[in-house]
Amino acid sequence: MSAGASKDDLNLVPFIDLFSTLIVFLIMTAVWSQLETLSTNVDSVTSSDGAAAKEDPNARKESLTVTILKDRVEMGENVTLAGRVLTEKNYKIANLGLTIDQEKMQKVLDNWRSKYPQKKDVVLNTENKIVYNQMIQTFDLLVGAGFPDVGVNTQ
Amino acid sequence: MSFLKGPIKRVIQSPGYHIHPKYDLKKTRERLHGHKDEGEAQLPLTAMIDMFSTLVIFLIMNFSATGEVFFISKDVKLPEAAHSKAMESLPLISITNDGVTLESEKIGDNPVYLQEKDANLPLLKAKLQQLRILIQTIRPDEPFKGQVNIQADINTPIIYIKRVMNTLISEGWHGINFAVRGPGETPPAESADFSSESE
Repeated sequence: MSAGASKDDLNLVPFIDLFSTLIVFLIMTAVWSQLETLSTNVDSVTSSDGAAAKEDPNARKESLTVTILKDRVEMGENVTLAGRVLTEKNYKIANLGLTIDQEKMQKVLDNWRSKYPQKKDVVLNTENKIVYNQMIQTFDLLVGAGFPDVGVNTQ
Repeated sequence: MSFLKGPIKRVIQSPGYHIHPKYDLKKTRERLHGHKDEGEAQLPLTAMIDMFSTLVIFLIMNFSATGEVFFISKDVKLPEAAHSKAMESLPLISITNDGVTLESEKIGDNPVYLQEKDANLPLLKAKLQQLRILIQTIRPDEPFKGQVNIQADINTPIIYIKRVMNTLISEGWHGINFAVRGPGETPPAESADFSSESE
């Protein structure tokens, strides 16, 4: 009898059994839709500037607000020092249908980012009649523009 | 009569069929000439194992351990967001045009015309209180974080969301997370114009 005559065929059946089981397990436990979250902390509606102003009424206070209305989006910036208004601007962007012109909002947000580099929080106000998708679109845009502390106003 | 010549006397024998090889090639010869296993079809397993290996590697690389304990109602189409973060396993509130559910249990209706005075969700309040007590009983050493996930359909009026958020805040649940779908193909946005810009 020659050497290895009965060993030249690898037994592949256990391999196939193992792989089949593994594939079935992985497919059954796979997460096909990648679900994620956008977080808001209600405490952040009262921003860090607001807290500082409570401690020191003469402190400089910067507040940025985005208000989604049925027909437009208003983006307001307000800077006060010792109760005196230094800057007050209000940008209006059209809100047609279910989408908001994000490019124009982005320009304003870039402007804010350069003017207030330390600012992290923005208050998001919404009219009752708008739909949830518009709020999330705007929320996502704010987070992407470098304002991670978005406070959603529930009033 | 002898054919041998020379001084040394030798016996020459005729050789056999083959010199014995180092490795037996009997099986190879059989395969080449098809003497054995003729008529038996063999499954080419190598290709199948290759495919299985590729599939297993692909599935393992795409395996995600987050978000698997999340129930999405068939009535809910989640919005997309590009700057979201990974989802944690938290109590889930689902909001549709028809009603509000907490952990798949219906705990409130959404009337067609919701007024400000309809803001109370007494059943949701009661369930949140129960849930808070349960969490504080299970983890007495940890401070209560008040984290909750909210999922809602993209076309849900925001007043329904606000009503639930107000109830959550009043019960001390301040960490509200909006469930979204991760970055994917975003449909092109319709163009809109600056209506005005005022200072």
